[in-house]
Amino acid sequence: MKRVYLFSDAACTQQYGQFVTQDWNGEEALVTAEDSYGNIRADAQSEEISGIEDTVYSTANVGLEDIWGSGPELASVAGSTIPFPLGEVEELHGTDQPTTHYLYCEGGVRLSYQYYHFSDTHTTGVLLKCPEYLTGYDEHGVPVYTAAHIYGDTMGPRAWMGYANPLLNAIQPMTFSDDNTNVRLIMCEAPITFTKTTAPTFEVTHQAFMPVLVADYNGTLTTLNSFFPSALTINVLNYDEYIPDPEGDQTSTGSNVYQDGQGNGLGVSDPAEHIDLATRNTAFAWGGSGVGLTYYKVTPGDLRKIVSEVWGGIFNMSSLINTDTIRNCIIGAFALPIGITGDTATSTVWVGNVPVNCNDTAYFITSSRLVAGTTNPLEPAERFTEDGWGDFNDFMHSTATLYLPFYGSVNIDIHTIARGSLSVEIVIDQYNGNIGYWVYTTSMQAPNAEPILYGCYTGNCAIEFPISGFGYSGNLLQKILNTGSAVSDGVGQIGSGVVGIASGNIAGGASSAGGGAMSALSAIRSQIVDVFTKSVANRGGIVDPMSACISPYDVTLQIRRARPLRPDPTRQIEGIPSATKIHLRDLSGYVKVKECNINTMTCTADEKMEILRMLKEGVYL
Amino acid sequence: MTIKWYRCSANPKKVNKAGALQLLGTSTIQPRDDFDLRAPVVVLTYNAGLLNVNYAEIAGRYYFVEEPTLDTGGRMTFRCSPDLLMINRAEILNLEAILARSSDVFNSYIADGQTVHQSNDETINYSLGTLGTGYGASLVFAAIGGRGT
Repeated sequence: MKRVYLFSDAACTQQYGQFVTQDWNGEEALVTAEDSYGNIRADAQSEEISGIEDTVYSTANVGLEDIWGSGPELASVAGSTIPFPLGEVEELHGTDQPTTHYLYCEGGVRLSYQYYHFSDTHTTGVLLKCPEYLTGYDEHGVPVYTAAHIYGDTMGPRAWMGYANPLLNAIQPMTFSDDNTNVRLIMCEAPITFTKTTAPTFEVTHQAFMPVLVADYNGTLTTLNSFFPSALTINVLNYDEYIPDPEGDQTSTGSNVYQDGQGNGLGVSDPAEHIDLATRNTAFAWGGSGVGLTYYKVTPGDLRKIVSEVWGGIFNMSSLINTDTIRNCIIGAFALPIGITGDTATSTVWVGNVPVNCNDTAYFITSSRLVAGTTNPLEPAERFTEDGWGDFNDFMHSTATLYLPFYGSVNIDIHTIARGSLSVEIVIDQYNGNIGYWVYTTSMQAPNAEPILYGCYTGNCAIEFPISGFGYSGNLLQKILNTGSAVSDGVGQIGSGVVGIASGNIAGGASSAGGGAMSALSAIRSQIVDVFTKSVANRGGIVDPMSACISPYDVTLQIRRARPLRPDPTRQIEGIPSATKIHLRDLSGYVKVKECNINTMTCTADEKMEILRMLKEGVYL
Repeated sequence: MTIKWYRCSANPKKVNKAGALQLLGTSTIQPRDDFDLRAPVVVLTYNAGLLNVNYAEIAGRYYFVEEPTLDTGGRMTFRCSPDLLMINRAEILNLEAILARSSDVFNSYIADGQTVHQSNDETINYSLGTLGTGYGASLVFAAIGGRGT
């Protein structure tokens, strides 16, 4: 499936899997949408998206990440923040008629852009660099602008082509004063040196939306039309297509933006610049107000309060036996091995119509995708680079196994990483603990190429614990809550919605109607076991969900290599395989001929054959 | 006919042995009938200085020489076999060949069946990152409820 870049504002959401959409030819295509530094904005929420359709420049708050680190949070943004490469970029100079400029792939340059609208004046900011002398002209005579993009507090290219970085450090400090000025930052991957000259500012471009087909990890496609307005303009470009010409006709030159002019693959030099799924895919958003289905990040103290309120007085035991009140209210409770921050703090956790005062220690979780905290446990895993022996042994006598926590082991085809590299990216769904691993590889055949997706692997890292469960030992919960006594007393069932989530169903529901707690727990446990039996632990056996607590947390790549013995002077005595055609006079040392034409020799026939025999046995030149 | 007697220290498989020849003596002979240049047999008056001969140049051609035999009448006999590599070295070097192995021009990624491997494989574990900080790092509670505001 080809890949396209979706030009839209928060138009992409993702659940576990991939974005699928259609390009302007109506062909199915894989969507990639990035912000200015390769991350899909993850903070868009459904209510925010809805305002955009009214006008191109509506002030929907799309919650941009603070690119300045400690700087002020960016305020409302109008226009698209999802960049697109090679697209038509319109430059508005305060008129209704845009002046069109085209940015296009030249020798493999991949450009994208991000638009920021700063409503406040900042003392530090971003200066868009586009010195005049760096502009070029395309074959249509249209000026081509290039610039560097901002991420963090430095400007940097994506270095996709493996060129040396431009003199970005020279752009220090960056100063910017913006008051309601729309600035478009263009991400440049060309090796261009920048200086601190005054650069023109680019203003908002229009935006386009497309219905997006979302595939979950079961492969089920869902059209998220409800989140988007009708398409205004399709600016979806196939990544290997040229940008449109000035007349607007779409033409394809077949050039591959991931290659330079010599057909060499573009490189990813820094794993930090690699596509980062952990922050790229926009999450499924839900709740946040405490009304309806709400997910909370809680502390053990909050949970104790919840449990005590639920079981300690408000709810009548007999009513619990006879009703499904608790089961219908409590959708799930589980522990995750990673720290999450949640969003807005709340002092009240609602269980049914019972407010539990959590003393402001609970947080709404309004996004399925894990929002990284200051210490991001989901940093793209270190990039492994195969050193190896530097010869055929790396391919023929080596094996690779990748252990993914909560999934198991994956056999990695050594040919895909030998003398190459492998990296793993992780995304966790906070709503259910589903964890997805995206394994990327590059091989020596294209060491500077964009990593290829080797495979996606999903598991679950949540340990679900029942808030109540007759007969449940509660030992695990006890440990987690550090309570002095088991909290298992009481009847009721945990909603099977927790397990249902793991199966892609968020809505809660009873796992067994009318069954006792034990049967419910058995049903839940069997479903949990079912989830984990899909993946096999590193050393055999089925990963018991409870023993997932003791599973290794390290993403580990194990390489097994045979040890070749080549004592000196092996090469000089017996040589190394060669398939070269060459004149023997151009060689020295040991040579063993596979075949050669001896007709030119003037000795007798017997002598010719004898000479050929000796050459095939091996001689020293 | 002039014969140059050498002590050759080069590998018999070496094509050009010129730099490894130590001259031990020179003989001028009158070849008899049927002197076979493919396998010359040379009989000389005994010369102790030629006992270590193992290589010879006869009429511009090069030969491996076996251990001489000593005959009656104070003679010694040298049996020679042609060194085809040395004799045809110029033409051999002009040959264009497809190589099977070489110590000079080679490709390390061609499988080498002559490589010996130890049975104890090398195992290397690379940690690519740690997921999370341990269970209980976060607790999530999901419920339906609320009266709203």
